[in-house]
Amino acid sequence: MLAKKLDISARDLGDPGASAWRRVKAEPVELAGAPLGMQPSAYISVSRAGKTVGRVNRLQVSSIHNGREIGFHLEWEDPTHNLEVNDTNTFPDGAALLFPIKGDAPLITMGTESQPVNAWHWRADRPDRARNNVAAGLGTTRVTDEDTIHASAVWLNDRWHVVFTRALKVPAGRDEAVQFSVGDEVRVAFAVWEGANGERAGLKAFSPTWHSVRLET
Amino acid sequence: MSQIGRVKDGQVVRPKRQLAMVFDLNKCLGCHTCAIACKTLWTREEGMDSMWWTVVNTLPGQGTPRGWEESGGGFEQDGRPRSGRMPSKEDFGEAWEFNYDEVFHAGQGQKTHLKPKEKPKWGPNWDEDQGAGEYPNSYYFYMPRICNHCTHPACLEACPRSAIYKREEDGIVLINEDRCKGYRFCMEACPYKRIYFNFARDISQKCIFCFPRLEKGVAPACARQCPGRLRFVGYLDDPEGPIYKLAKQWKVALPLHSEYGTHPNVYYVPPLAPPRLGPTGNVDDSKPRIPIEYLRGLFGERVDEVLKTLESEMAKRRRGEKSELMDLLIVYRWPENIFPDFPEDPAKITQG
Repeated sequence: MLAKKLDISARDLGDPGASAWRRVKAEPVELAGAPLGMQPSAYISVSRAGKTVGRVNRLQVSSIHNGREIGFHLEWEDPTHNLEVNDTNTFPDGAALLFPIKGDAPLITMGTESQPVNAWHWRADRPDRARNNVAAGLGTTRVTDEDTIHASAVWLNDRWHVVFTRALKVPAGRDEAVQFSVGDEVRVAFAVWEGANGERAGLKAFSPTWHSVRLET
Repeated sequence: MSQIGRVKDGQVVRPKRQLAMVFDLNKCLGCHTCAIACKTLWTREEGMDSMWWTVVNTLPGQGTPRGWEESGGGFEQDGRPRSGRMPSKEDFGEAWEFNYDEVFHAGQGQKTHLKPKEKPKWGPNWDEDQGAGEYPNSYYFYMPRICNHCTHPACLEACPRSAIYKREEDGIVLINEDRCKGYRFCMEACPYKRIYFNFARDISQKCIFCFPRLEKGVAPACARQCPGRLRFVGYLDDPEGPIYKLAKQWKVALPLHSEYGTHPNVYYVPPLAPPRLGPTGNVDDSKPRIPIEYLRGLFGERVDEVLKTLESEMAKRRRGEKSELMDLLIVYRWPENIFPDFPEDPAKITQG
């Protein structure tokens, strides 16, 4: 995937309705349900046996950078619109980007202790920001900040359009966030949670392989 | 990640010591002082309005949350986790909003009365004092409930983030609020349904056995404030303490629904009841007022034997004989007979 270089403002970059996002090619990303055998608790594996996990099976992803910030536009079909946690058994829709921070971090385990990964996590009940997480294995995600990643989401015609934007470089320590350089290629993976299906935590749809994004010079 | 409370090599890893409570159901007045003591101390913060970490239900009844006994969770006999149902907000009973403004400040006090703004359909103790049976042989008893601080907590095993842990020194089960992300698998998995969700903070919360009080030698608020003096607190392994004496030596305190497989650390002295009345108002001793099958369903097959022990020890006292068991249950000296390890007066504790 190419993160197209466009001379646009951070504001346009962060707006899923901005015309710039219609000018770049979106790539399809196939998603698969997270395997029950990989869930970090036997309760989850047993209680979800025979049920659909990861109801969203396809995403459209595009990316733009302006030399200072990078944006990722995720779009997927979702006829249900789960915006808030208004009862114990309701869950919001969500999406995340995952990046290796260093080394050859494995995707399927969400990194390891020596090879952590960086997750940008957006949830429909807090739609205008994404949380920066670090993970060093399943069940270990830790929020490090809530203000470096901007998010903006629109739900229109049964489809979510969510844009994540962040500065190419952030002051967070090397172990807490991915850093981008123009001309470089970074690996990225995707996840989507369908709130209407009770999806949260490891109950999600995800892209089982890394995708690569090159920042156009 | 601590292994305490998890299965390792086919065995549940136990803490060094285990704190437990015994509730004598024959002394519970249903006054809810325990619930108010807990509420006042722990659940007045944002997002906690509808939380009752300790609650007193009327049995037979739906309980709190509604229908919790039929909601699954816990473990199968072979140790596999059992799927559980998530109780809804309404099942727990929401905190009703009252028309205080209208009655107290809007001059309507003579025209309307204090009432919930919306007509409630259910509440945390909706079926209080209903019970079962037909007059004159109707029956009910009170059932105080807290988190059972289980030896094998289903909540702890269910959490994908290891946010729930069991303390090594006393076996208290706690939720680490910094690790909890509000996924609520614990609420499904707990067969006793004693975990609440804080919507404002996006975390699960539950009874903490008043651990900050214990660390100062003060008994949990529910136990210390109980006017009926029915909540015994202590270590399960202390042969001089009331818990060991009631649960292990006299064997008159039984776990609730032990078939759920989590090995709860709250025990109950099962309820006796007045005799049944026959058609002419005569005493009918042919069967007990509270159906024994019902009590077996709650406390297991040993309940028959326990009730017999209680009756025979009571009979001894009636005849003027000594009964160590009755003396133990009566609690002549408070607090040393009821929570000997935690006798301190919280009003005399200095902070810091």
